[in-house]
Amino acid sequence: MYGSIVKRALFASTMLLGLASGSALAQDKTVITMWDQFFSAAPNKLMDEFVAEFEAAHPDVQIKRNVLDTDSIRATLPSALASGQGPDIFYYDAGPAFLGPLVQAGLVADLTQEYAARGWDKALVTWPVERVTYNGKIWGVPNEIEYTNVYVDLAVLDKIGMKDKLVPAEGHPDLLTLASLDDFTAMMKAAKDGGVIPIAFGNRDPGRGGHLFSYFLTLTAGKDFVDTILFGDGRWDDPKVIAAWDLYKSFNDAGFYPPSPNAISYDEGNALFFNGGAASNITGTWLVGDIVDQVPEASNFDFFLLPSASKDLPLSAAAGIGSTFAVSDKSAHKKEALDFLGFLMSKEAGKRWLEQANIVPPIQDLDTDSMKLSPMLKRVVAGASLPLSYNLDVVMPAEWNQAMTAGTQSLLDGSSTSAAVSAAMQTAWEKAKAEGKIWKAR
Amino acid sequence: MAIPNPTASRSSRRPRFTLAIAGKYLLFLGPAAALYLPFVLRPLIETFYLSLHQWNGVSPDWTFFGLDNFVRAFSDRIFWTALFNNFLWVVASFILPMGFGLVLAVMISNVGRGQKIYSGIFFMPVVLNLIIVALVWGLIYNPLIGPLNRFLKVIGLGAYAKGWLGDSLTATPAIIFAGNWTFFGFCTVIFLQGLRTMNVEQLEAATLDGANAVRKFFHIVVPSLADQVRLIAVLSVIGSFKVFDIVYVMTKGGPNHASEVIATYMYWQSFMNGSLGYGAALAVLLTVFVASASCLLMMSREPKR
Repeated sequence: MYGSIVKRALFASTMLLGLASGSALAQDKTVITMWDQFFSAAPNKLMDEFVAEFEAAHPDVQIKRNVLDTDSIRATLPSALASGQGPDIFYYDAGPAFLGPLVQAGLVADLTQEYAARGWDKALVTWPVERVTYNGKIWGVPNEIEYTNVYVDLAVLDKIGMKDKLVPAEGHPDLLTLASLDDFTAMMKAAKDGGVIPIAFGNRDPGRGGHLFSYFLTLTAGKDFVDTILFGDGRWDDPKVIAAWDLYKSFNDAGFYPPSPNAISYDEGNALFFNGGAASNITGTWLVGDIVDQVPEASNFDFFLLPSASKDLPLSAAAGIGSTFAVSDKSAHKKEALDFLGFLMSKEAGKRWLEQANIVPPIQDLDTDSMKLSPMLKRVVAGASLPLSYNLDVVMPAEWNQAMTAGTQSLLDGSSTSAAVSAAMQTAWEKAKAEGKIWKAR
Repeated sequence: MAIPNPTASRSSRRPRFTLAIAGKYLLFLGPAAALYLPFVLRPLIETFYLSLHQWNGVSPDWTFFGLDNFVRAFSDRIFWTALFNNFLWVVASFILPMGFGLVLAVMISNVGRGQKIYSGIFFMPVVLNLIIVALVWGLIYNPLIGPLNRFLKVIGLGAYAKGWLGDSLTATPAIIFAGNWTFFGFCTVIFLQGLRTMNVEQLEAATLDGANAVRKFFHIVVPSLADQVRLIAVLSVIGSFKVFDIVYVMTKGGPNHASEVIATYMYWQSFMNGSLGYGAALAVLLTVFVASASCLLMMSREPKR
């Protein structure tokens, strides 16, 4: 009896010693924590692969991921970083409304020197890097080029006799467009007359209406005009801005959106489109991954770019980088964190971002011809070389975003006017400008 | 015979405050205080302190603002919308589930057999998680696939079909209805219990005196359920001011802040708009409203002496 107890005690001690040793070994590793938003199946799996491969190549480093959706990371990351308990690496929305306050609070590592030292200044496309540059310093590593376009259900277009309206874009044979904006109106009218909802637009999350407004402003006024506001003395209550809101509202008045878009979520709008209930869906290139990976008959879908309202304006779209990788200024493992980001930005990784996750990384000179890409993703890559404009929510301050998103909903339910929304945006812009909260890349 | 002085008697019987008694107080109050002080009182004080500052949640600097955040609230259109919606919640939560619950309780109490089954069925929504309720009612109201609009079309009222949660005028009433759907079963059970303890002889006497059902209901049943009404009123007021989850899931306070309540607006200002000082001021105001309303109702529960 006594011997048995001694044996058990010895066994338990050995086990504890083993656990302690294991723990000590784990403690020898440099643990990097990363909060990211790669919650969709394919990007999530790819990121897990990247982490495993990096850990295999760097046995002394362990990366712990925490995957969050956009709302959750927006609600939790700022306070986590401010309390000193935040992650080493985070994948967060760029722009003065999101990354900007973190930069101003000194919570984000300045990567300007790293860009030069690691050659990222030459390896990455310039405009996405500008989106993470504030006051001449670089604070993030962009990972995805995104822009807004018009997805179409080819079967529905065929049914309403509008498929032939799609034509190759001049100078960009890989891209589809229409001869004029009037053709788009005719297409939508034909869809409505055919008993199909023309545009699967859900604006319960009002940021979605913001994407449409950004796109319509690109079409009606062009990037150069937006630049005059962002970097000059242009105004948000300019008639060109009001015209973009008028276009947004006119589609609702014409019955091109579903009934009560303010009551429909983004996912419900997408579901309507995927199930053949709508002819088109105006959203970002991030939807390509969902179509390719999740929709049974993905070949039924394609996308095109709307032509600009004036012949003087080039073919363009509202673009952004979505989120950006950034490193906490309080991280004790900056070198390892940056090594990992360098690994993610390599050309080999870039190929896999495209092929496995349908994400277009801002990496220069990727040989996409040799890659296995879906036809739709090839189009996205082709469009990335256009003179793209701005997805405004990720380059504008919070106050302005508040005025703009409120406008997207109030115009649809008739409680405001284009001029009033534009005036509110201008007021918010002036306030943010006075408080130094605006984006100054240059 | 000397008349005893009750005051003097009570005074003379009062035990002296000794260390032993202090120890007993500590023993009984200590555990609660150990939880209450760090997890309720301290955050309350800190929230009030934060409400006097401007802070974006990340900056190392807090700018002292005095009462400016409170002044801002009273000149903020969205705050007034949110407060008005909270009052709508209070009124609707008082009238709808209580009225429906009372009628239902009277009906069930008149059923000979199966009272427990009926009350169990009507109580079921109470145990549902509000997030689930919000998702289900979101589908019911959905303008594309929702059964409510389909039903209206079937009965010839298609002109009234709309996106209930996407319209500034109907969003709040639609959410209030969904929220109260979970509460009426609770009211039913509480009233049912009250009816079981009611003095039946009064009802029999009224019947003999020729009172009809309506007169008996309003003059005997309702007054005898005063305690239950007060309990439900307190719970309604507190719940209506604290409401957050069902609004956040169904509309996020939209469209254009039309269905905002103080709690959702506080969350939005604090965590989505980076105005933690202002959000804290809203939290303080919410606490004041809830505490004041609860105190008034609790005081009204005290029987008059």
